[in-house]
Amino acid sequence: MFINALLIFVTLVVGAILLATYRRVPVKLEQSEHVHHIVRELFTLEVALKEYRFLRLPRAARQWHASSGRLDLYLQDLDNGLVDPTLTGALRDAHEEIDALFETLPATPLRMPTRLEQRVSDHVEAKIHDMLLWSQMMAVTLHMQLEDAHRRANVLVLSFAAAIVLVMVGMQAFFRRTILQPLGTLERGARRIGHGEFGRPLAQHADDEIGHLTGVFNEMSNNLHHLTRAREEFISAAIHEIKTPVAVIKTSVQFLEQFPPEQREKRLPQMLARVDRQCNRLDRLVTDVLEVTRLDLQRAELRRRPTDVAELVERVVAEMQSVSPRHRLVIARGDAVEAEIDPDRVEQVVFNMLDNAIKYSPSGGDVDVSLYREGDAFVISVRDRGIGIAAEKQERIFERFFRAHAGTRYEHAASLGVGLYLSREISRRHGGNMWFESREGEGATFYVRLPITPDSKGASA
Amino acid sequence: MSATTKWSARRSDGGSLVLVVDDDPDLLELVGEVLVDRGYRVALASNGVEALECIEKEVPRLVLLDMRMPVMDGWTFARHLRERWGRSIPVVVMTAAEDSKLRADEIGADSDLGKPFDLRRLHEVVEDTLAD
Repeated sequence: MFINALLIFVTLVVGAILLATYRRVPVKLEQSEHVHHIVRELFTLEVALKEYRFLRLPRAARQWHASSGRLDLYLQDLDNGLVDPTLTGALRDAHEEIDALFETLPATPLRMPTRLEQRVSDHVEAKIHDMLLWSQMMAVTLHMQLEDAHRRANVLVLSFAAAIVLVMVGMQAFFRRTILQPLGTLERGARRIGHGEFGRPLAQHADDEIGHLTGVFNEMSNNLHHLTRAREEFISAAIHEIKTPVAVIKTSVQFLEQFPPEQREKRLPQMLARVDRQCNRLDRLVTDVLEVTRLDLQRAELRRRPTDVAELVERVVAEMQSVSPRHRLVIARGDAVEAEIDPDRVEQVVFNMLDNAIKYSPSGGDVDVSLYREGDAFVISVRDRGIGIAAEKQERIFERFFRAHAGTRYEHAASLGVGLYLSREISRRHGGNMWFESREGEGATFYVRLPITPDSKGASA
Repeated sequence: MSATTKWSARRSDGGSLVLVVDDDPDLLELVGEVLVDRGYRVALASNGVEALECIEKEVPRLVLLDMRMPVMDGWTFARHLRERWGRSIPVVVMTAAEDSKLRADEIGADSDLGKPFDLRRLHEVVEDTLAD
């Protein structure tokens, strides 16, 4: 922006000088004209003098006076400093002198000139010649000045043209650097992302509009990159997760097969329970993956129906208790709640809450589950006494694919990083919300608050 | 039966002791049952810390090790194991990771049992490793 202002300033200055120079040229031209008139009048005076002196014409004195008057006017006009003032002064003095001398002569020439007249005439003629010489000097000087002014004007015109060209070249270079190049970089960056390559962030040239755009672009690229990587990790984690239940089911079946029927019998209940649990796990995994996709596509529709929430909570607690013998799941409070909800999805939420509570309290202990009414809404809370959530990660735990404990020793094989995201989305679709309280090392309590009927406003808190 | 069992009650007499470490109780018990059926003695642990406690009580002939576990993961456990016992106890890695071979090399494992495995593969790997 500074370069722009500088270029415009230079152009204006050059233009102003050019204009001033050109305004002086007509004045000089006028002066030059005056000098020519003076020379002409001087010749006229000489002619008048000769007519008086030699031809003894009576009109000669009249001619002299007419011409002398005009010469006086021209000499007055010369006085504006362009011409050497001493020269102008000398011309004026000489003019007065010869005019005064001529006046001494008789108005009508006598038949024969007197001796005095001869001397006066000689003197006047000599003076006129002097004046002619001075005038010519003046003319030459003015001519030279004019030439000089023209030359200077030409130089200025050329400089002006050069300045304009420079300004244009400068502007172009400036625009190339500030607009075209950054735009080119942006274009290449966009193309790279189009091909799925998220390289380093683009360099931000300046703190202008394009710089700002580049910043936004980098942010977008970064977010896209994270989302893409998170998605890849999610898919990879989901696939890994599927492998363990498959291994258990496959091995269980093969193990049973190698026994004769009568020996199978006693192992059957335990094996079947195990296969059933692992099938449920597979089912949940697949549901999670599907739900994430559906929520992404905004296609998840709730299938609300009147549901006994207390019964639902008890059912999930019982199921989770069976897979985690080292924790004690306690229903601390269980109000009777009948609500119009999507039971499958709410079950998923409760399952996720319990699953997290169990996963992140590895040394076991009590997990308290509560269900209670609060106005037009009901709240389910799950409290564990586990590792808690670090303060710096609390903000992000509801993010899709975010795994708060990734990279720590609590990183859990069975975490896809979608449980909390899904749970909160489901709560929101019900018109409710989900939140938590936690301190690192002191466990966490998660709350879900849902309205009892779709139109009650109970969950607005 | 509890997943926290450090010393399984299913120890049969005479066989070699195999330590199985995995955080999934179903998988842990199933592998235990399969090996007991084949005449091995089995110790079960659901994470690295429990596994180290088991080894203090009796040195196993073989460790079947899952990598991703809470409390102490497979890598940390393997490092402790190598520091304390050198390479005298063979380790077989069980992991769902696609690069399980690479992971196995990383900790100097003697073999790997990728997931999903099956009964035949489980027997094969255990027998081969014990035969070496």
